[in-house]
Amino acid sequence: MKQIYRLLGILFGLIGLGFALTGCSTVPKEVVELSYRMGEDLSALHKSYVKLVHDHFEMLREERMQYLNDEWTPMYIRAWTEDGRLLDVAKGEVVWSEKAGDFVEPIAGKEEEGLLFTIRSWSLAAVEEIEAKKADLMNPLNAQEDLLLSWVNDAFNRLYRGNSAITAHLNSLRKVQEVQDDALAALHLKDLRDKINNVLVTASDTAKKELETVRKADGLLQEVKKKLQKKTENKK
Amino acid sequence: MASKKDETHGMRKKAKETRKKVDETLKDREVELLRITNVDLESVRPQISDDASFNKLIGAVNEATQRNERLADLKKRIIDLGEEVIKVAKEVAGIIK
Repeated sequence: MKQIYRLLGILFGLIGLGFALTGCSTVPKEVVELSYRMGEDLSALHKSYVKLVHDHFEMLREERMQYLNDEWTPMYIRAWTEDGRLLDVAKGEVVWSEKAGDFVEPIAGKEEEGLLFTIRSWSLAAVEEIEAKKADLMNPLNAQEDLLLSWVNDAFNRLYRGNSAITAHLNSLRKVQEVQDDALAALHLKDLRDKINNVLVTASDTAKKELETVRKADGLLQEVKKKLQKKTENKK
Repeated sequence: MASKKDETHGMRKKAKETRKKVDETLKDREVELLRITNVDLESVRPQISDDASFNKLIGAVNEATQRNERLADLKKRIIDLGEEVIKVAKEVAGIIK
């Protein structure tokens, strides 16, 4: 029986050692949280960016609409009133004839009918041209806005994908670490892993300090080298 | 039965001619308006890295994530199994006593 326990002890010892050696770095839960929050912040940033693009195009559309309403349409109505002989029509002097393709004198007894048809045709034609002009001014801007938004959305979607892949990866590291922690705790070895980590962190700090000393020494060496070269040149 | 458009074809043709005339009169003003309200899309286009290398990176990270998930799962199963073995061993030990 003792042998069974001994074997199990060795088995768990080996597993624990394996865990301790493969998992010397730690993934704090905050790093997963941070990555997740970055995803949320990205979403807020995305919304704000889309609104900014939309507001900008809205401003440009307003500018064009102002031109249409304040300049183009009044000029068009004036010109169309003249070309469409609205005053003559209103006076009952002429009516529009689709058959003749021109303005003609009203048919006796059908003056009112001719007037109504002419006024209706005149207004329909005017509205159609104003709407067509509006489309000419607005459609290119709408298409540009759609295209820019599709680029922005594509770029943000890539950021979402990248961030969620990183979050999932950090989470998987965290899962591995939690399982390791459970195993090490069961074997009373978790402290050992923490101690190894602390030693590594200290070693890293020490290495950094030593590296700085080496850099300083290297700088000093370069200075001495330069001075020696100067002296040699002076002697020559 | 003729539609409204068919009925007013001639009048609409005339209205289009008027429009051409107005457009010609306001040409310079309109060119300026289009210039100041135009957006240089290329200058604001997000300059992101190429799709192929990005997808490659994502693929590598996802693969590593799946490996970790499997590893965590495997380790958990080994631990659960170990606990079960200990439990059974204790029971066996009790019976043997």
